[in-house]
Amino acid sequence: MSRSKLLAIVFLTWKAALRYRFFWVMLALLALAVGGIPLLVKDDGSAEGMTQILITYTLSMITAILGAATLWISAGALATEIENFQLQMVVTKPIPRWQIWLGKWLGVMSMNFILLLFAGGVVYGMVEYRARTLTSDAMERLEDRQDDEIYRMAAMSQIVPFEIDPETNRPKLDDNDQPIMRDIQEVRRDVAGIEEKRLRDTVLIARASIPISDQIRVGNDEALEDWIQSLKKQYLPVRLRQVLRVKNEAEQQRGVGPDQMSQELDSYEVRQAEIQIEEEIRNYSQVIIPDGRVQLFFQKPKGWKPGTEEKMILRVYFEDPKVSFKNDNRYGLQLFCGPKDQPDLVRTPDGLTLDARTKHEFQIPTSLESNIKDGGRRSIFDEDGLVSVALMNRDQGGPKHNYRAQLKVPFLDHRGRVGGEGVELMYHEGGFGKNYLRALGIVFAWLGALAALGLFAASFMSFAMSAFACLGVLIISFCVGLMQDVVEDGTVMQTYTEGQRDSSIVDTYAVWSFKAMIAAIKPVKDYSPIEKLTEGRSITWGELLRAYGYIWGLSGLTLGVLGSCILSRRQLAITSTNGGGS
Amino acid sequence: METTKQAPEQTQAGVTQADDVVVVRSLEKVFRDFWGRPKAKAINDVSFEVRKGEVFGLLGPNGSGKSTTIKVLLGLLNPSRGVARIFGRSPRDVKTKERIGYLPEESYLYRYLNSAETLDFFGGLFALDGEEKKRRSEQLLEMVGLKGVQMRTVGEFSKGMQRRIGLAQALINDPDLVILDEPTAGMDPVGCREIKDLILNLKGRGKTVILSSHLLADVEDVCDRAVIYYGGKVQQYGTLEELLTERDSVQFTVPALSEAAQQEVLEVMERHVGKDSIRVDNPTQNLESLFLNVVERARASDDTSGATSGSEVAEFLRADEPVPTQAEKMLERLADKDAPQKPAALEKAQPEATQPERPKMDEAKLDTLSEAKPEPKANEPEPKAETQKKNLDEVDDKLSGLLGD
Repeated sequence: MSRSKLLAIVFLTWKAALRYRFFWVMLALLALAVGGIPLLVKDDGSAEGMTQILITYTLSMITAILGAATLWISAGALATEIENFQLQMVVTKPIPRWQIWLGKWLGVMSMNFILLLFAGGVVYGMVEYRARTLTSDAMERLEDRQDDEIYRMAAMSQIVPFEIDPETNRPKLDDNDQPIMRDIQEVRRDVAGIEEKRLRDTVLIARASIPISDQIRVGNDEALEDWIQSLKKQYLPVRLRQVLRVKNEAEQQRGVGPDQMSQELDSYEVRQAEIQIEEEIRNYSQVIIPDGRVQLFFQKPKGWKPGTEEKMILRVYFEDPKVSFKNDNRYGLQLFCGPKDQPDLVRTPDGLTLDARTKHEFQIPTSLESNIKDGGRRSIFDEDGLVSVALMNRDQGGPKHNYRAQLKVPFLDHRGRVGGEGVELMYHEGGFGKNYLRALGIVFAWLGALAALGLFAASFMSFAMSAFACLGVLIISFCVGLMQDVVEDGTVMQTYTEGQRDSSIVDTYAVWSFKAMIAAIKPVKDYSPIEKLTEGRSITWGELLRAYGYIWGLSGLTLGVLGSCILSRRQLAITSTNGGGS
Repeated sequence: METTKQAPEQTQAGVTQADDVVVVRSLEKVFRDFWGRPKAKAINDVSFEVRKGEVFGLLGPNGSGKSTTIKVLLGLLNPSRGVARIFGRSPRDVKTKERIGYLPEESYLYRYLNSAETLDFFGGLFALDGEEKKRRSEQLLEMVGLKGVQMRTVGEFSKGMQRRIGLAQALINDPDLVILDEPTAGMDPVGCREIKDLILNLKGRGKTVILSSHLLADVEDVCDRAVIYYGGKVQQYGTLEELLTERDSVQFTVPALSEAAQQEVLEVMERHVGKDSIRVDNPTQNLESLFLNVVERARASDDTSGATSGSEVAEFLRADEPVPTQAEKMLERLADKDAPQKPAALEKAQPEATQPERPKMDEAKLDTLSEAKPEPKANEPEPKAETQKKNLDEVDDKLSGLLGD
């Protein structure tokens, strides 16, 4: 493969974009999107909230603008050259057609690279600027405060106001055995930097989740699945009787005589009742009754070797089922962490109260000083690499709720599988900068797939048709949820006959084709970096590689090979406007 | 020039020769609609070959199949039937394309590139190194007269200027085979002449040129052999001499004679062919020659923002021996009394070319010439005057028989 031939095509794509001002318009649009959106959106007033919104909106806008533009320019770069006969001039030169295809793709992608780097750089600069101004703004506010007030604020914010002896790790004492206070300017700077530090600890960070094991214990220390099955067994007959009663009441209202009323439920009704009750029990399993507890286990990742002082983050979210909105009630909840044989090695203080419907974060040490173990430290993980996290409902009622609340901790997802957002244990995997770069890397992988899609369509269709087809594919990709429902139900029909869902011959093809579409689209959509970035979760190099493997594997190997094959076989002297040749 | 590396192959119509650059056998192209139904048969059972170093013309009216043939030769269309080979390979073979230069019938160039960028881009597709690409681009721009406007984009060019830059890109790789589809379309007479001179120059360097045109003068001026298309079929095929020579008449061109001398010559001629068969007039200068003279004079005094007249052929394209222009060739022919007679249409001498010192008339030689009876070749028709006399004699004989003389 001749590099100069490929480069000639790449440079041509660039020249077209520059001469037709596409590149400059894109640059201006992106600047407007990333610069203008923060002025329009509303946040919750916190630095974290503002930063999360800033990252979410700007990256989403960048992805949307660049994605649409990529489809447009890649389809146009090939289709218009075919329609204007310019490609005839190129293919009569000694360059294989697949290299023309590849050159166009590289041209579009190199442009995307620059645009993404520019827009991503602006967003990163804005985020960093906002984080830094938090400290400088706070410094200005604290300038006039008295020293005593500053020391008090420091103490309240768990900033040590004393000088610490590094040998004893205790405050240094003066001649009167009074702790020596730190320099007030230093303390003032630390206090001023609290908000920035919190932002960098929660959002501007790359934290990886420690995988949750399915050994969940609920109720009276029973395994979750056993508990669910025992409750189901206990309550199913009651539920079936309820359903039959409701059915008979309905029959009665329709005027069915007592002799003709149903004596039992049909199989579909029984199955529906089973599904319903299991859903309800699973849902209920996440509710901790007063003085009850839930215990979950997390498995230490294989490659992770925490340092002695390293800390994990335990993120907890809960709701009061009686209150369906966020208010300022506070509920008693106690957390315990430790190995299996000592699950309460680390615990939150007694009497701790927390807001509902808020994500709370706690730092958990990975090891503790110990006089039991040799070597002086006790790991929080047991020999199997498991750590237990238990949540106990200690609510005693409060000034704003005069009842002992049940607390729902959603550790199951919407499909009833372990992995909800209720309890999450994370560790510090890296800095925000690298994580942000990897996120942009995944966005770039998406753009690569879109560029391949545009070029693929343009290989055999006119510009108008290929742009329309690409738009169609994008719309379909937004309907993955609907397709999943059809695949799960096994039919597109939503009607019933004698308790059974109807089906038709269409289902055979619809379900099969929906399955294929989900298989192709869903994994691409699943590699969403934006949500992870805003939650301070890490996007690992492995994930990045998998994303490229899948997204570029799909686009490069399938669309690329197909597209360049079609282009190679196409009779370029015949365009779609003048029919086909034999 | 490189020779084809592949052995000449056996084709449907017979064995190809080693110096055949292009071989077309029983070629057919049917255009179909979306449903595969035949829409038009653009070329039908076309066969010819183009030999190394010749200028080959594809002649025919619009829509006769010339461009379709070229597009098949370039791999832009697949033939419905038949075979096309260039340098012994398939037209779609990338290796083949390294040796081909192509100027399409319309400007299919990138409108947003300027002329220097256009040549740089197409040079890049031939993997020319930077220095070589620059050198060739400069020479070609100079040659086609676009050096002064090289920063203007192709979209701003007039049609003629677009043809010039198109021609330059076709020559960037110093091709062994140059395919020119209507090269003079949209060109001014100066440009037309320059293109024709360039074609002759390429021929002088042993290059092969395929020229497609519906302008008869273009083909007549430069082509060695030609096919004449009509309705997608080859109607005539052969050398220009075979196609054009009228072997039953003779034309003399001499410097102006005195009335007495003219009368003397006519008397000699009348003795052989009869008075009615002789035509005497002054040769006229053609419009192309007149136009070229006017432009040449104007060029010396006025500037232009358009294309200038092209300068001499790019150095990398130049033949080792200078290739004579058409005017020079004409002079050569006039000066060489032993040169074979060319068809009349080819001998439209330019005014500047017809200014040699007036030779002294050799009346004795004229007598000898007029007396000398050309030996008719076995396969040649009898001279026209001879035939006419013979016919008249036959008619006379018949009339005598009828009247009982």
